[in-house]
Amino acid sequence: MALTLANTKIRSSGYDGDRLSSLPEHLICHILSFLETIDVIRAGSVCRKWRYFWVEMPYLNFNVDTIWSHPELRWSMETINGKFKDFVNWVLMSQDCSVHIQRFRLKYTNYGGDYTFCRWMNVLAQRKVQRLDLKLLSETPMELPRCIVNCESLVDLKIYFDLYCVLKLPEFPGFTGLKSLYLCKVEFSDPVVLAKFVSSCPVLESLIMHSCVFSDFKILDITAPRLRNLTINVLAFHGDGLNCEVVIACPSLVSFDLLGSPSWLSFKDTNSLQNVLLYFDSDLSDIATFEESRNLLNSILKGIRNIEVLKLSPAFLEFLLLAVPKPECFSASFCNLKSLMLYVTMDEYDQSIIHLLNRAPNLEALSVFFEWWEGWSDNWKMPNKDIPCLRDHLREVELIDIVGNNNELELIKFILKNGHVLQNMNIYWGKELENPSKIISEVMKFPRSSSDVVLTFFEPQSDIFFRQCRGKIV
Amino acid sequence: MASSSSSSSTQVKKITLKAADGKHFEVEEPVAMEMETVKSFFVGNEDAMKDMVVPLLNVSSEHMPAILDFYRNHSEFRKRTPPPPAEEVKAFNEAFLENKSDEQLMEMIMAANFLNTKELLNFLTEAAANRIKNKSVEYVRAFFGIENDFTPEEEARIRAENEWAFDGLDED
Repeated sequence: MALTLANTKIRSSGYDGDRLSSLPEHLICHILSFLETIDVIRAGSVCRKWRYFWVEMPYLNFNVDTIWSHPELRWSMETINGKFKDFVNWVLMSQDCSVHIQRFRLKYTNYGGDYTFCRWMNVLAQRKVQRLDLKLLSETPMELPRCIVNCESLVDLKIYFDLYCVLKLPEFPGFTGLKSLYLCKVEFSDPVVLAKFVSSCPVLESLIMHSCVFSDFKILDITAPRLRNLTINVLAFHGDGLNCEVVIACPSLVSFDLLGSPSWLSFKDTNSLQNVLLYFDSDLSDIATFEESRNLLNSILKGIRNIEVLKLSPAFLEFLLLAVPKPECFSASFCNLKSLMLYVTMDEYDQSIIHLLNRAPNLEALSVFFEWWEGWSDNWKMPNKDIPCLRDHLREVELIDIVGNNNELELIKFILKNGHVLQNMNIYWGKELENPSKIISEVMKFPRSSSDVVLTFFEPQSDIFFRQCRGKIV
Repeated sequence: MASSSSSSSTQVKKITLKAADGKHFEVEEPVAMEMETVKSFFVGNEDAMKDMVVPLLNVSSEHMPAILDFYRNHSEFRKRTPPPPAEEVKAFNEAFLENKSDEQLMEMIMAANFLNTKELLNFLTEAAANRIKNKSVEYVRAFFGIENDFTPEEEARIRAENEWAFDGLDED
C-alpha cells in the first residue's frame, strides 16, 4: 500500500462533532423500527427533533410480557392486561392515521368475550397494514377477524399460539394480497375448510405450518397455484399429529419440508420441486403392510425424482431399506440431485446410503450425520465397485458427529478411495470422542483417488442437523 | 477449530476501492458488486472496469476490512447448499460486533448506508437497536451523541405525559 494513513483515525466528511447531525433521520427511524413501541415513545424525550417520531412510526411492536419489567410484583394479571390494552389503544388513537402500517407485532392474551383484539385489527386494516406478526394466548378457539381476511394490503401474516389453539378459518375467499402465511401451534379441525382456504389465497407463495395439529384428518390436501415454499411440521406434537394422507398439488412449488409421518404422501403436478426434506419420525413398517409401504415409497420417489437437494431422516432411510432387495420399486434415477443430506442412527443404513448414491449419478455434495449409540454393530460393508457420482461429480463431503467407530471409518475410507474428484472432506467430531488424534492419523493413511482433496477436522458441533432442519421449532 | 487451506487457482478479477482517507483496497469483483454503490459505478460504463479506482467518500479505511469480511462471508452463506446452520451465521455476526464501540458501529451504519447494501445495513441497525433497547433517555442520548435541547420544565412535562414508558428500565 502506498499510503500510510492506516493508524490515523479518519472521520468521513460531514460528520465530525455532534453525531446527531451525522446519522440522517431515516437511519435513526430504521434503528427505532426494531424496538418496541414503548421504547420509541420514550425516545421522544431525547431531543426536540425526536419528539414525535413515534407518531409516524410505521412499525408497531407491543409485547405484554416485556413492556414492563416484573409487573406481576405490582399488579394483578387483570390490571396488567388492562393497562396493556389502554396503552395499545392510546398509541393507535394518537398516531397519525394516514401513515400506513408496515409491520404490526403483538404479544397478547386474548380472553373469550373480549373484542379488543378485533377492534385493533379493524384499525390496522384501515391503516393498510402489510405485515402482521401475532403471538397469542387464547383460552377459547379464535377466529380470524373478517376485516383482516378482507385486508388487501396484507402481504405477510404470522400467528403463533403460546398453547395449542383452534383457529377458525374463514369460509369465504379473501387474503387477496397475502404472499406468506406462518402458523404455529394451530389446531385445525376441518380438512375441507383448510383445503378450500389454502387454495383460495390467490397469490400465496409461502405456507409454513409449524407444530400444527391436524386432528381427525383423513386427508390433508394442499392445492395452491402460486405456492413456492411449503413446510408441514407436526414433530413437536406428542402423539399423532398427522396420521393421514398428504396430497401436494402445487405446480410452482420449489421447496417442501415434511416433518412427521403421513400414512400416504403423493405429489401431483410438482415439476418445479427442487428442495425436499422428508423427516419421517416413526417406522412405517409398524403401521403398514409391506405392500402398502412399497406403494408409498413408489409414490414418493416418483414425486421427488427431479429435485436437486434432498434431506432424509433415519426413519426414512429405514423405510428405504424396503427398496434394496426389490430394485423394481426404485428403478428411476435422481438425475438432477446435487446435494444429499442423511441422518444415520442405525447400523443397517449402509445399504440405503449406497443405494441412494447409485441412484444419484450427478451428486456433488453429501452430508452424513451420525448418531452413535451402544447398540451399533460394526458391520458396514462398502461395495468394491465404482459409483458414478463418486467417480465424476462428488466434490464436497461433510461427516458430522464422528466418534471413530468402524462403520464411520469404512465410509470415510470408501469415499476417499472412490472419490476421484473429491475436493473437500470436512469431519466434525462427536462430543463423545476424547482423543481424535489417533483417528486423524488413521484417516490420513487411507488411500485417496483425488490428488487435491483437502481434509479438515472440526471440533464438535452439537445438534447441527437438528438445527438445520428443525431450527424453527425453538 | 481447524480450517482448510485450499486455494483457488483461477484468477479472479479485482476492483480497486479507495476509502475516504485515500487508502486503496483490492477487492474480488463479486465481493465489490455486493455494494450497490460500487455496482452502479460500473453499470452502463463497461470501460470503467480497467484500472479504475472507485472512490468511497464516506467509508473510512478503518472499517473497510471488517465490511469486506462481512460481504465475503454472507455471500458465501447465501450460496451454500445446504444452507449453513443458524448457529454458524450467528457466531460470525457476534464475532463481527464484538469489540466494536458504539461510535464505530455508528460509523459503519453510515458506511453501509452509503454503500447501499440492505443486508449489512439491516444487520447493523438492528445491532444498534439491541444496544439501546430498554435503556434510559440519558443513555440513548449518549449513545447517539445527542444534546438535550429541552428545557427542564418541558422534559419533566413530557416524562409525566409518558410516565408508563419510564418504568423498570435496564441499568445503563
